[in-house]
Amino acid sequence: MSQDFLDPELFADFIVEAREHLETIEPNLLELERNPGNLSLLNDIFRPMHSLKGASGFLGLNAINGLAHKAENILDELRKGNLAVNPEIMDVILAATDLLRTMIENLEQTGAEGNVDTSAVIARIAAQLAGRPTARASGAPHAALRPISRPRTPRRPSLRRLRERRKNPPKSFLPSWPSPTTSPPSAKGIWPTSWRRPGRSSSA
Amino acid sequence: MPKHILIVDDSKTVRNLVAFIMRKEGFKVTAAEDGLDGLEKLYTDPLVDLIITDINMPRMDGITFIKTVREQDSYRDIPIVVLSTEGEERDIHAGLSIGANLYMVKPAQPEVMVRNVKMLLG
Repeated sequence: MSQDFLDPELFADFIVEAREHLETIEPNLLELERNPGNLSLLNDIFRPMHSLKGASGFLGLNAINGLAHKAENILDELRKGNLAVNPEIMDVILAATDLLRTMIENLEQTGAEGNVDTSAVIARIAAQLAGRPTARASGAPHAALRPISRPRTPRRPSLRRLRERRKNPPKSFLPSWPSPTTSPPSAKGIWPTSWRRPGRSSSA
Repeated sequence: MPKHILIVDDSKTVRNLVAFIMRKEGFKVTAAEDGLDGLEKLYTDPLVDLIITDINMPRMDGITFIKTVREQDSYRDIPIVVLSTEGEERDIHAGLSIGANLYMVKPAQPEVMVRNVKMLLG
């Protein structure tokens, strides 16, 4: 669709909507990695990805649309049970989601998707769909994830980094839990003694 | 009096975009965010002349929405256009077989959407 006639407000709406979709997708992806058998999580990821694809297509955002479309394809195969969640598939979906966020942020900051190379991730998804998983060394950097230019505002950490942080949390962030022998806090003293639930006798 | 179009889509971007295109053509537009919301809008503002609906939506999908609308005597003949990203033969067949008059695959060209809407409104 030609973007010439479009109201800038439509793009602003899209950015808000896209951010909401990513906010739904990202935590569910991290949760899926911990619970790969949870099909309801897949549905919770599939729907916003589907919406992202549809809306971006209407606005002529071809890079976002193409990548969201591929991500939707593999999510659909997972939720239908034709593919099983595995680390390589999780890795490529996380990479796709990171690229989508990068392009949405570019769109917000510059008005365009930016020069983001989605071809490597799309090829990896296609290989998974074709049953030909690619052997990419774990931890090797994604060329496509390198920032094209210095962003004006600090970007949030990538999903892959958040995943690593979850696996190995910095010690200083760990809360000091009470020992298991500590008795639970009593509700006594929290509620005013004169308070009674309406309609109930004090002996109830 | 302008013709009144109800747009049902869970994507705010798509709702706003289709509404923008249709309003430019002089139509009155009401938007609903899923099938259930669409039914509520039809109930509270029944003077709708044409419905454009998505298929894949939360709470109530487009298939259930169209079926429910077609079961109402007053909406038995209202023109319904499906606007969906699902473009496979079986999706189109499913949409048309439950009562849609036309099936368009996203992203549809604005001029094609307008032409089809005008054709259906006579």
